[in-house]
Amino acid sequence: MTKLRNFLIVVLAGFAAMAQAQQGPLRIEITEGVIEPLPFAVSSFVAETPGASTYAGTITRVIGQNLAGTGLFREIPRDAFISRVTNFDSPVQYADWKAINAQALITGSVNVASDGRLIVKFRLFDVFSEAPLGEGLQFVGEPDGWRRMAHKVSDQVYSRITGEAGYFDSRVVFVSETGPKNDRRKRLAVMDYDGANIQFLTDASSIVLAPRFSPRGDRVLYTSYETGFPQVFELDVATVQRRQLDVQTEAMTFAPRYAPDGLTVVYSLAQRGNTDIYALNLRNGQRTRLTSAPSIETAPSFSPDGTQIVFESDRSGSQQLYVMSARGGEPRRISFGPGRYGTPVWSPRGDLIAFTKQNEGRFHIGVMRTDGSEERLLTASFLDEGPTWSPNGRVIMFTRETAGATGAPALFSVDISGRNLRRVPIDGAGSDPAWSPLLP
Amino acid sequence: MPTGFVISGAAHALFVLLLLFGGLFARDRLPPVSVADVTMITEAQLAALYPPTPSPRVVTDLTTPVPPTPDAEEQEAPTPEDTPVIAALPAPTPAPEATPSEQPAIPAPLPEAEVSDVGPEVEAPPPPDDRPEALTESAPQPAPRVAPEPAAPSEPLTETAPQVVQETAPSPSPEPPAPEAEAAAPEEATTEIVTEAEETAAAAPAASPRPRNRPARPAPQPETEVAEDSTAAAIAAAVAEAASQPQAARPVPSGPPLNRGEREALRVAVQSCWVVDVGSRSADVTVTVGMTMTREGTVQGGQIRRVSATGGDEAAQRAAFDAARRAILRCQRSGFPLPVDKYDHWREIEMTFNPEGMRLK
Amino acid sequence: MIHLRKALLLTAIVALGACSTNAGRFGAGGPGAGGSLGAGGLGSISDPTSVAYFQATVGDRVLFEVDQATLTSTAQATLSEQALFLMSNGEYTAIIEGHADERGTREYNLALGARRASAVQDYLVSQGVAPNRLRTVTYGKERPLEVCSDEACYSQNRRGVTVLTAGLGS
Repeated sequence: MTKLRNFLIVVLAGFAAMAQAQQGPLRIEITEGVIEPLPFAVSSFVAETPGASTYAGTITRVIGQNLAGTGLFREIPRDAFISRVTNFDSPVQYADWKAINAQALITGSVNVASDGRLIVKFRLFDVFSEAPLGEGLQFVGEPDGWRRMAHKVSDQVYSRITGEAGYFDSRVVFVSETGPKNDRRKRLAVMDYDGANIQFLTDASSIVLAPRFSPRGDRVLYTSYETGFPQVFELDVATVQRRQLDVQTEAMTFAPRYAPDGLTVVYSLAQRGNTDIYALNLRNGQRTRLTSAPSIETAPSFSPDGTQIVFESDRSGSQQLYVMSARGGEPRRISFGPGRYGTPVWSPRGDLIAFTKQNEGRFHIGVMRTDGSEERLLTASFLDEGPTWSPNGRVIMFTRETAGATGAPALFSVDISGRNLRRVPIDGAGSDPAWSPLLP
Repeated sequence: MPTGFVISGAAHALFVLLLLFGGLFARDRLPPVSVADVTMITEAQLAALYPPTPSPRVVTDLTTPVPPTPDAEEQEAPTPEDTPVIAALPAPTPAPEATPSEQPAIPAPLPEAEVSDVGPEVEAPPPPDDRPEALTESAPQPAPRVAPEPAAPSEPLTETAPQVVQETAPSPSPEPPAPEAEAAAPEEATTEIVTEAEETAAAAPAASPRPRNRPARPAPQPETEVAEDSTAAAIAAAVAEAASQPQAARPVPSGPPLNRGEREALRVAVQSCWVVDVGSRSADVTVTVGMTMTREGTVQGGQIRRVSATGGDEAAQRAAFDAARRAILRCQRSGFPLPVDKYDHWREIEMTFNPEGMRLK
Repeated sequence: MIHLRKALLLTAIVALGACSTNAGRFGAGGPGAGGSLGAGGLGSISDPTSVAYFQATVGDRVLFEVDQATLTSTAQATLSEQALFLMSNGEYTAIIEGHADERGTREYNLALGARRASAVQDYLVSQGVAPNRLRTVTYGKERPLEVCSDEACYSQNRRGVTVLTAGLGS
């Protein structure tokens, strides 16, 4: 049998070899490449009206920062440029950009229209192919939306080069922290993904924890001690109005998260020392208990299709990750490595679960496949926790807290490859970030 | 009397103060949160909104007006969907200059030596100041550039390095599959992403990190005479290869085909320019591109066509194709190092970019 | 004049005391914000019915092992004393706080704090304290007592604290 098979192979491969020798193209297979940032150039956006020059400069800068900040691209400094684009519609001098090894070139223009609105146009070029990459596009908005326009241009560029949606035109809700470690003041705040435009959503009068955006980004769930006990609240971001969910005087509720349809909320409820996971239908107020074990079940997170929930439980004796149906039922354990696993979050792509891992005195942010395989740890520090996914599932933001009496939390982000670890620049301390979807 | 004034004055002052600062102490007086409105619009919509008046645009044209690029007017298209212009690249016309013996005495195209300014800094060690990462915290990234050939190898490299293979295997082996570097890969450690977690784990010998099973190098394609691998796979591969032969009525090239070393040289030249985004879905795509070469070893007309792609969605496949095209066009410089006397064998090239072995694991 | 100064002083003390009790319970809106005892209510440490006596002599807190909610024998002894105090001072109700050290994730520590508070509550009830006089709250790792990052501090932060409030029932 084996002989027959080998014979077949030899014969078939022989045919192939003959065919190859006789005609057809030379075939080469490339199986190894390099992992490095792609060099790009952003030509200063052309200010086409007198009032546009300030915006042109800042928009150009933010686009450069956005793309370089991904770690996937490297911005070529402007002083290395050979040619300048002074007219948005002029042909591109590809040779000048090849000479400085710019693989992608972004050009753009900024106009202040007669009604005071900004018009931003851009084009993206693949320099070595000497061709535009996609169509040019234009955005219109109020001048104070210039930053969003820069983000939108960046998202387009990112998406055309990587083939995936971007994440720049998005926001992050988090807990802004002040005060000493044993009397921390916490306020909910929302900011652009890059730390700009911080706005507060609550005052510092009560502890607030772990906010989560609704699937459309218009509402936020969080845990507040406003009543003296931890309780889940929902807040409308635009009006800053809030309401308590599932009012039960004798229970403590926390760790809320929306279902992908935004109509159901899962959360933990602690009663008589036992914490389990419940689902609350926001339309009819109906509450469903999803787990009932004497152990701790908390930190639930939906799969993007809404059919499954990943959560943590110590039913095995230590914190581990489990997946169950969104309607409850018998969970399946997915984490088996050494150490403890908590705060699982399903990726918006659906293929990975991010988590916090504690092992041998260190905290890690890691990812694994949804069946628990292919675990990869991305970070390590004294205290990393609470991952949240960028809307495109490419970047993870999390809390990193330093040790000691003066220790304070900060927001960090890391690419899912484990590269490009960086601190999100915000004033003061911050924790518990949660990423919004892309803004409309 | 004065007392009355004092009391009254004080009371009024207090009242005023309360009016002034009472708001400071009121809770929940946070201003509503607004998001600036930004809309993507088409060129037509824009024209409708703001009729194009002869704006005082300063037309400072560049010195030498270059003929407009084929797609420069693309913006006029009113559809906001970015239809991939790239995908519509014309297939290269079958090379008409099928005159193989035109100038047989021409020396082989110069290897990538002379062009310095156009050349991508491929082999140069990564400049440390260029790296964008680590605003704070010493993000331990021992090698910001992950490449098949480590720049500063700390481990003894064996003959698995492609360059070495190139030297050790000069025999004109006629077998068609790409001679992948032999097994045994001790240079792994220097060529994969090292995350912060792995860094610290390595620093602490007591730690017990999960053994990093790096993705096995892509299994060597079944060689003609050695069918040691899974027979089914081998059959499939062989059949696929046989079946994929084009029926082109091209003149049969005479003379020996490229030997292993010559093929390796081409492969190495391209792979050093192939930037793979391992975290993206384009890393799930294996794309095959085709091109017609000039005698100088460059891609004719810069035209590279997509032959096939597997894995990923259309956007990922487009991104994978773009990356492959960039790799070839960027690294060809003045021509790939190909033996001109065997031009007939490499006039048409199909290159498959398979990132499977680089994928995150 | 002297009377006035005394009155002022008293007011100041009470005010300060109110601050320390309310703010000390982790900010406005803490449990018992309405009915908790002001500083005047702490009473003298030598008064066996006072809050001060309860805190200092009986002991208002018990400590837990790492990631545990089971009561040590020391903790049980303390809680037995607490139970005796509560039963002989029926005018008090209590809120039991469960706390965790910083070496855990936020949600898990909330659940762990709830478990610890509940363990304290159950023990007090088993010793005869009426369940309706006790409530629990978890603070997780949000309100450490000690701020260093080693076991000396962690062991003090893994605690269950019985906070007395005035008023019958709730």
